[in-house]
Amino acid sequence: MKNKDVRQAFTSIELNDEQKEQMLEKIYQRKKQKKRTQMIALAAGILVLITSLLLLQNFLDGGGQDPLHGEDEYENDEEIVEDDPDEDDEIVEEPKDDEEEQEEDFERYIAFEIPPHPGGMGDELYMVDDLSELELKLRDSPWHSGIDVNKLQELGVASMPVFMNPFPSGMSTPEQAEKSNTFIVKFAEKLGLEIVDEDERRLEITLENGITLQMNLMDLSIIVSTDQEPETITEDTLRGKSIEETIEIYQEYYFPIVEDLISYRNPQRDLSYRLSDTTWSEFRVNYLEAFENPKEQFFHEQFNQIQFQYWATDYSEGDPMDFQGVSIPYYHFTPFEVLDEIPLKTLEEIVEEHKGREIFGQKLKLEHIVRAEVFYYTFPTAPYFPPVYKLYIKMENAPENFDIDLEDQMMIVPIEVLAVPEKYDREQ
Amino acid sequence: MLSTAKDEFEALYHRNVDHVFRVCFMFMKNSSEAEDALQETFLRAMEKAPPFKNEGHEKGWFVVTASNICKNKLKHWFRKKRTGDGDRLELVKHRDHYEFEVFDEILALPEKYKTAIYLYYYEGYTSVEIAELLGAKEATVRSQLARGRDMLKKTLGGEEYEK
Repeated sequence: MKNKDVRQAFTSIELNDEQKEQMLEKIYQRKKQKKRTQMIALAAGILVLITSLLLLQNFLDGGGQDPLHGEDEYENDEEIVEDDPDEDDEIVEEPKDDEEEQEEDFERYIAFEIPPHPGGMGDELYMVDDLSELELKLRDSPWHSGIDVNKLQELGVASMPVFMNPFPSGMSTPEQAEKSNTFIVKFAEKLGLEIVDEDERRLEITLENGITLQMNLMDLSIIVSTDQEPETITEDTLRGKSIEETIEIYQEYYFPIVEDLISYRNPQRDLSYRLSDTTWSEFRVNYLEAFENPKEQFFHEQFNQIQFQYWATDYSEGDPMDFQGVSIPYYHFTPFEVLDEIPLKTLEEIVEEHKGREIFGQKLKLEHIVRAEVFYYTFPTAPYFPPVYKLYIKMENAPENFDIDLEDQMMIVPIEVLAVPEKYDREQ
Repeated sequence: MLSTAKDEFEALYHRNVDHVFRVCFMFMKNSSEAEDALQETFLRAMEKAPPFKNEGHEKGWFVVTASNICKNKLKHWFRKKRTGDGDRLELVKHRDHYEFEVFDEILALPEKYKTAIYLYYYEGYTSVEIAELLGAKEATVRSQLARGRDMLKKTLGGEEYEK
């Protein structure tokens, strides 16, 4: 390989003139869209202010009318809505690509939307000899985070809270931004490094030595990462070390930084799993607190785990493993607001409710549910975070187009369904 | 936007769109997400209107900003779980198989090495200049270049490898 080969490879990728003009047009559209969002936020702020003043005036006047349902404020609402900026007429809606993708992903997570293909993400289908093997597979699966329904029943848990999503619009409020910002800046101070760059609301700041601290609304967490190795960790330090030893070296450096900022009384560590495909391997170290109360433990594991990520291009071939970052949940410093405590539906009720629905052509029946778990559905743009059942369905026959013999093996298909009333689903 | 400001922005766009797109594609590995990152990069330029000292500084700002935007997008673990390598074939005008192979291996490099590799090999910056652009120590940049090159060498063969 020569230097020019690398140089040449880069030249092979480029946009044509038409694509460049399209990109430019999209940039202008996004700028307008952003301006429009800011105007709407401003109008909403003014509306809240006016409504508050009217309520206050009504209260001071002792009007005797229900202030929340008086007619005056509705009239004022209309005035504000009509006062849109002129340029809104020119606004062209932003392309919906990302939104559509999210919609598609969302569809995968609601009841009985079975992925069209098995495999892929690693949680669409399990082939096992028996249920103990299923348990082992689930223990090692990165996508598995639920609590067994039987355990909940043993604990006498018959209801679960539905949480409000703190960022339902995918954007933070100024108050939330302030809280996040305080945490991020505190983190930066702890590292003793200067801020060299930051975005307007300081939800993302870059420190010396390439360390970035970012509020990640998608994951409801703060991601701390760096492009650069600590001075104390060199190639020599890592040479010939096992996965555990390498992780231990990094953890000795990064964990004290994090430890001083978190309030765990009894931190536990778990090198939980390794993801791998043909080109890279990924390792995650979870830090969590140990609770005596299993329900408390469950909520902690769902929302409050601190996770360190490492990955290597090809670890088995001796490539070095790199620290990717640590994720600190937003919940850790601002727990989600509880909307209500809702009784969980029983599995019998679920089956009755979805009577006649099919999974790969097989009707849903109670006797086919070999395992049931509860976990929390935290899709980033949903208004609520409701508890969801993951039901593991044993297939009686292999679906069509599957060249699998089920005589010696069990095929288990997990499906997800809301454990509380449908009104807590998405935008309802 | 006033027409003069618009003209200036469009000139800025045309001066930088090629390398911004290369960087974005190098990180995101598919054209739709690369385009999204490209748009964000230019939106940031439009909003911040950074005072560039010269064209070199301007180019450096765009490459580093685009890299940072892409890295942040990749940090969304939700995205990592659902995105594959996408449509890299769709856009790459590979002149021959080997060239495509090299590009494929560049895409597979760890994120932390990519910016340095791009700036060094394609843009021709020195390790000192790259260190300045990235706010990093020169030794760190040298290490990133060495590790990135070693990975490419390992996968592509290294008999004619130049130091």
